Amino acid sequence: MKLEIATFFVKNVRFSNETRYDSGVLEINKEELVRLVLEDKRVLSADLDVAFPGEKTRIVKLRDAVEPRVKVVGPGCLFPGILGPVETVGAGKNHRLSGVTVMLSAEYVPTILSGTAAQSSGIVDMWGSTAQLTPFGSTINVILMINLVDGVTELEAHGAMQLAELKVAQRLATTTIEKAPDDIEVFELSKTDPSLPRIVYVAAASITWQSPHSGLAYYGLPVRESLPTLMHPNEFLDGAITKDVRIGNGSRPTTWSWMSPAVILELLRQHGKQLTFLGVILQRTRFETEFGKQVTAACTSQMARLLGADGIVSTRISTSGNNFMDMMLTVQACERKGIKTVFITPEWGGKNGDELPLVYYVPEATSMISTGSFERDVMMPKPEKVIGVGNCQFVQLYAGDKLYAPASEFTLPASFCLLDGVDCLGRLNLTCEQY
Amino acid sequence: MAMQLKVNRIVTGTKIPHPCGDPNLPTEADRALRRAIIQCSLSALQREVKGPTLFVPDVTFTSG
Repeated sequence: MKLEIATFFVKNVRFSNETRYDSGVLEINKEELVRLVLEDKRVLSADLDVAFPGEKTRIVKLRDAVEPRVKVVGPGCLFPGILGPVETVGAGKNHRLSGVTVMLSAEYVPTILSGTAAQSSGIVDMWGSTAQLTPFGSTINVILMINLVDGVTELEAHGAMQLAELKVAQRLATTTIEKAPDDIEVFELSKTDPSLPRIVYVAAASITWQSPHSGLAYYGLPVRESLPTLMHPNEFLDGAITKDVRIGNGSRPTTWSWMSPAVILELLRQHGKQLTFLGVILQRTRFETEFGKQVTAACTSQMARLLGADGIVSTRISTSGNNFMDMMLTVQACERKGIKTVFITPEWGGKNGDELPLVYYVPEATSMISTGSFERDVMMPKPEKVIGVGNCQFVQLYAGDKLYAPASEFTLPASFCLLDGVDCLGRLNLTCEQY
Repeated sequence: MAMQLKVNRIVTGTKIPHPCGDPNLPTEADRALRRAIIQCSLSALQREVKGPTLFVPDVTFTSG
């Protein structure tokens, strides 16, 4: 399976009479895209705006973000199971617009009003230190703002919002068809020197089984009581993994993060050079019994051993301590089978960094990478402009939380209030130095 | 986790949302399960322990 990705860099975005791409400039016909979104009768109203890095702009009521990408040579399509029929993806050719995202700022009338299955939203700042806490402070963001009609169920709301977002992103990427790209990268798990270390990536997927959508979907199918699933890394680049877009909370990676997964891209680029990349195990986590946790750890480690892995790199999503235990037990099970592990994870640590960083540990976890604490306060300075759907005088980030006034200065209790504000997949490059 | 927190007497429960029972079981079976867990806890209280000790009720935990 060979996947070619042609990149078109976007240096500027502006609204115009025509939707087109030329020499780094993306022009958008707002009316055309609004019409495209309103084809879905579940969408009541739609609008677009753009935010640029460095501007004192705050974007609110965010649910998700996605990179404009389109499949120009099949099989299948981008986001199989959602934008088209289910067909095994990961081969052919894609076009992508780099440096630009489509962000979804959306409102609907929720029917789940409390608990972990309730909808939530995130914030993105385009300037200052808060812009560095998410991947989206350094991209040009096309914000799609939509309102849904009354009477949609929670699952319909997810479906309608996701479809609108993905359709707009795909439409923007189609502007590059027949154009010459700035860069082409080929991803393939070709035959390698057998002496290279053999590596498997374990992507843990914490799911919310009691929610209308479990939180994460494989080819559009919400992952529920699943045992570990073996995937080709290229499938991720084709959007085979998507998320519940009702949940904008930063502890859940966006679709953008899943389609540009940092660990997968790096392992693919090192394949045949430093290592042999064997594949990805998508591991459903957050089992609620000790028994379930032991089963998923045993199954994942056995799958890695059967693949002939010398080592695994693992990540987890969500700030759940429950899901963290599953991953620690997986590290233990792999090490006991003779497979070396590196576990990449965000940590707790409290407001001042003097509390326990991990809620559970095993002695076998001797090699870990921290992507930072998600429990620190985030000071949000006063913006000059606020972008978001509807009335943005006050926003509530999750059910039961207090209201914030986005146009003013305030303090957020944790980085998970920002869209993709918890670095679950090892994406961000903020570092610290011990002295 | 309780072991790492140095809890002296630890009793294995059913599941995080419902540690002392299982609503998926028929009423009578749920009652027997709850009784077994509580009885295990009461006998744990009567045992001298030196450091964290795990007590496992005589029940099956494979129902989910």
